[in-house]
Amino acid sequence: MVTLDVLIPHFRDPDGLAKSLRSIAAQNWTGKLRVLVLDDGSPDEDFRKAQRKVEEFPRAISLLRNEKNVGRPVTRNRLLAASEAPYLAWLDAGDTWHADKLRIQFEHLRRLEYTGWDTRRVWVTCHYQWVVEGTKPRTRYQKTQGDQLQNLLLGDDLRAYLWTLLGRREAFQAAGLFDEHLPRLQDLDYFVRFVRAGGSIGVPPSRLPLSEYYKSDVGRDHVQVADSAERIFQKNRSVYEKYGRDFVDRVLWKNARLSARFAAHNAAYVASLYYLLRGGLRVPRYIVQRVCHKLLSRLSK
Amino acid sequence: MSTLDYNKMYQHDDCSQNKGRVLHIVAGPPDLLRPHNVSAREIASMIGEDVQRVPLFWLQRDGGRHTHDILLENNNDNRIRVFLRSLSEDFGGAISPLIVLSTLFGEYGADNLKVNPFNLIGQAVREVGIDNIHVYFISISNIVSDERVQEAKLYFRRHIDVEVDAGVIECTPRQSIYDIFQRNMMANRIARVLSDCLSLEGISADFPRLSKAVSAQLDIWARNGMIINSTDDPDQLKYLADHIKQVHFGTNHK
Repeated sequence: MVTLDVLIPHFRDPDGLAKSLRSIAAQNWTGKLRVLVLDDGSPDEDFRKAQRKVEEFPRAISLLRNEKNVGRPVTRNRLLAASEAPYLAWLDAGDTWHADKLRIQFEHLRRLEYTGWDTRRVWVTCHYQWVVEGTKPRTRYQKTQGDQLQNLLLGDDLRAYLWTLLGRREAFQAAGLFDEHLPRLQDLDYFVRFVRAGGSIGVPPSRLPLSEYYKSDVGRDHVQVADSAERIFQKNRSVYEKYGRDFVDRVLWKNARLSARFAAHNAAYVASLYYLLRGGLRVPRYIVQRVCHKLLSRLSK
Repeated sequence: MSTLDYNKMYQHDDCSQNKGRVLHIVAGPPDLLRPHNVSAREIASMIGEDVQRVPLFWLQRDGGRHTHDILLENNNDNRIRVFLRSLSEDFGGAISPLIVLSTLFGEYGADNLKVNPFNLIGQAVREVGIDNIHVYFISISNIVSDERVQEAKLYFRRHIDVEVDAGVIECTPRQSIYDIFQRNMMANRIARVLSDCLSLEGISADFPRLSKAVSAQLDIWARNGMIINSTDDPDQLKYLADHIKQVHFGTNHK
């Protein structure tokens, strides 16, 4: 019986997949693992390349293929359905793990169990590095203390990245399935549902970053980002409102800036401006407050 | 959603993950494993490349780094349950687990035990599905006799219902941890003589602490270039014990 299934959705990135698989092969955790790669209908040439990379992997692995491209949330749900192990971890093709990741995260699960936590309701995340091409990698620390739901919704101190996680199958089942109407930001929705269902996110005491996220906005549809952010907001509106009007305004403005950033990074400058204007009109009080605050802080200097 | 919406294109099973489960146990002798801590990782490397110590860092910062005796020191929490889960789930692959139980056959610190070590091993066999146990004694200068190994094997077989192999790991002076084993052995031999001397004078000394004090003195001598070769000559041991007694207690034992 395999202890851990590592779930990887893949679409048109065989070299990225190879990099991810190398980082899994280098793990120093000594339990039984199996990798499940589900190709989301890549063109034949990319698929054949991915298959060659999979065949070179030295540990247990299965390669599955969607008949046609159905998008990441559907692919992730199919991976969940295909998995059998009592523990699950995720990785996206192109991102990598530090060799200690699984060992340190399993050790933390044991620590939580020893101290009386119900590990069927816990995900273990990790600190990670943001790697943006041409810039120095930046370490991001996951802060799990405080109100995890609020921190996830704000996304400053606790970020919803699936590839940071290790958990028991029951813990992932607690979050249900990925929302198939969310082509983007489905991780955030999944995390929010987990915490709303009583789940808790833990992080090992080690300050080491255990994953590398090769971040790029290029090629990502800004309309999908804007729509997904709005859908998550509407789904969880009551939760956002629980934290007060300032919080809601802050999140809405953040969403507007996120969509504007994706648009700008894909040379859709008019759309970028549109998102900012629309966002600003939606939260005028917040914008005025921010401008006043910035002016005052400059004057006081 | 249907799981049949995709096709299985390739599957590779890792055959190395399907071999029988072996548990390696280093059972002493305690005289070599204490008072100076010996790295369980180094001991594992003496057994084989596919053997690794079971870490207990979830229990204590340096848990499992030297010995696993801490597992036996408390029966009021769920450390055994978590240990068994770790043994089962963190060691299913090509790597076999090693635990070091320095108190298994020795009186050294056995008073502190709250859990019978054979109950722990028996639980591991039943719940984790261990197929084979390899018991080892570390030895320098052939101090562990064949009779002792055979006795241990028989003892295990009486208590644990699983295939048991027993053997000796002979450490040679060329190996990096030989000096630690030798220093520990000497410290314990001298401490035993010293303990007897003290008890004749009506002083009851805690043996592990006495042994540590002797080891510290041997370290000081070694730093000053005075290396004490291993000896079991009673007169020499008495002489050294007297000397240490004088240093620590300020009286000359005649």
